[in-house]
Amino acid sequence: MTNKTLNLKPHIKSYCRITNKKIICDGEVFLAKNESETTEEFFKKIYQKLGISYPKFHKMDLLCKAGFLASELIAQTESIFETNTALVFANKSSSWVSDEKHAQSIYSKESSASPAVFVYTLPNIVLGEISIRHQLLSENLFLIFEAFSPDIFTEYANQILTENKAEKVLAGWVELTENEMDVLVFLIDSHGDLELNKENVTNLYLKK
Amino acid sequence: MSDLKQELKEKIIAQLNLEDISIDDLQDDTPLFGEGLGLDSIDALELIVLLDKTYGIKLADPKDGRKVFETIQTMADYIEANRTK
Repeated sequence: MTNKTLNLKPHIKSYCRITNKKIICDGEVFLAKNESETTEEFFKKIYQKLGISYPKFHKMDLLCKAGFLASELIAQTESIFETNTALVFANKSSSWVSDEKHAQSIYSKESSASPAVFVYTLPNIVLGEISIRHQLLSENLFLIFEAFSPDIFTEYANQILTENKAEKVLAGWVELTENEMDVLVFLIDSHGDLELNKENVTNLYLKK
Repeated sequence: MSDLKQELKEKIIAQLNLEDISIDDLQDDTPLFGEGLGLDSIDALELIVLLDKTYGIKLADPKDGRKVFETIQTMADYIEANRTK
């Protein structure tokens, strides 16, 4: 039975917020970040604490690592493996960190582009990494906006669900620079504790 | 030759971010692709860049890569025979 026929309102089932200070999942602090740690080191600690073995993680750029880890944490309580879960992600800086690395390598004296860096010079690669990990064959979309806005997610998620394009939506703002982490990933389902609306999405984003 | 193989192991682990692999895990005859180390196509491109940048070897025919990148031993043999630096 579909969401439309049941006439169910979308809800936020689970969320994961990553900032420069810590990572919070469904109200619980999963891990706090030491000030001296780099983003890369912090992500490695999260990966180790998750206790998973996924060697491809180490090859991902920071943007993919952020989206991957947040999704992984949500999937620990709400499995999305092989489900019809659409992905709606957005950010401001696109794949800037990898773009810059790639530019530096090709414009350096000893010009030698790295395929492993180049492959991440698109922001939607994060959606591919999540889809591969959870075997998703669903709709996905990555948008670039000036700033976080809850409308991005509420509107697209509502449309996807009411048109029965998917049963769930994994939505995420994944903004990453070398020194700045601003990530909110949340799972939208037909039931849950929090109704999907601008106010509730904004409140999750304001958790720091 | 054994120094070259050791150097190759170190470079491959570092260059390909094989965080869960130690030098001891990587034997001279461990297949680098498939059921061995499980490298993928992007890794293959990285190995081509590694040959060029470090040893001055340009693989003109990508088909050669299949044999050259079979194991650490085959890589080392090829480098010994073709290196320009």
